[in-house]
Amino acid sequence: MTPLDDDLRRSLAPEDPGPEFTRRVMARVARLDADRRTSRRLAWRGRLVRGLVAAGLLLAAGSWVEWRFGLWPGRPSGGDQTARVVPAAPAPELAGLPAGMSPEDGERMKEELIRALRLASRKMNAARERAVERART
Amino acid sequence: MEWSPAEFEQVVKEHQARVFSLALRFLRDRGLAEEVAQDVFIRLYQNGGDIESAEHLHHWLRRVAVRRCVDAWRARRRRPELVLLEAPVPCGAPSPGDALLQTQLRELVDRLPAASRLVMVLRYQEGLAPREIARMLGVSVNTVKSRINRSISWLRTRAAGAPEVAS
Repeated sequence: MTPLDDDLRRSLAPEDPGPEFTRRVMARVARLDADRRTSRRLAWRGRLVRGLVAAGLLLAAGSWVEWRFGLWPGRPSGGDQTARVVPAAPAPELAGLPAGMSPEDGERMKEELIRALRLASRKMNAARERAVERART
Repeated sequence: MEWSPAEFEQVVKEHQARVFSLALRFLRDRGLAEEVAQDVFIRLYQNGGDIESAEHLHHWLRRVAVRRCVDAWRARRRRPELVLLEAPVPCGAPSPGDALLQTQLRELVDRLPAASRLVMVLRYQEGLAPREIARMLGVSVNTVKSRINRSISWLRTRAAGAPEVAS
């Protein structure tokens, strides 16, 4: 241990940056906590909205199929009776179109389904945007 | 360990001098040193769960501070408009006692090359052994020892005016 070692140790002794430094660090920590809380809340709402959208789409598609084909056992169909799928028919999707359905009917049904899904999706998106907007404010 | 604000404030107060000084002596820029030290504490706050003991905290802070200092130093070196900051500037007010000598030594340490400066700060501020410094910086023990010896010789010749140093 030389005198220079001691001098170096003394001259390089830690220097406190003062209480202002502590205050600034704690202010950053508080901001960080606030950001974390907001993003956690937004994430939960986002998950909820996504779930609602998925459930809505599923419900819309199911309702349309039920209305169109009356697939629910024991319930009469409210839609086009000619388009009803006969449950006993062997794998109708493999044999082509259901009995009594023309290719034009099939196209029309497809368009109706797409329109129904688009409408449901638009409504769900609007609801989601409103929820996200509300969460931000 | 999850921090409550009061606990964390206590930790910051306890360790801020070491972390800030390490950054200040190496970077020679008070503003940048404060920024680096703040970042180190923010990272500590975010990674509080990984800290197991007071000793672990001590090592963690030193390791992250050194890494963050080297990153900041490299980033500053890449920015040509800040090259002027490389000029030696005295850091910190002189303390009572051998104020002149200590100020002179600090200024001289500031003029050492970055790699040697970091080694000297870790050796004399943090009190680390050459082996620990070597492990932290990822260099050989001989490299650390040679940097310390070269720096000491250089400081001796430059500070020859001071009686304690000349002895």
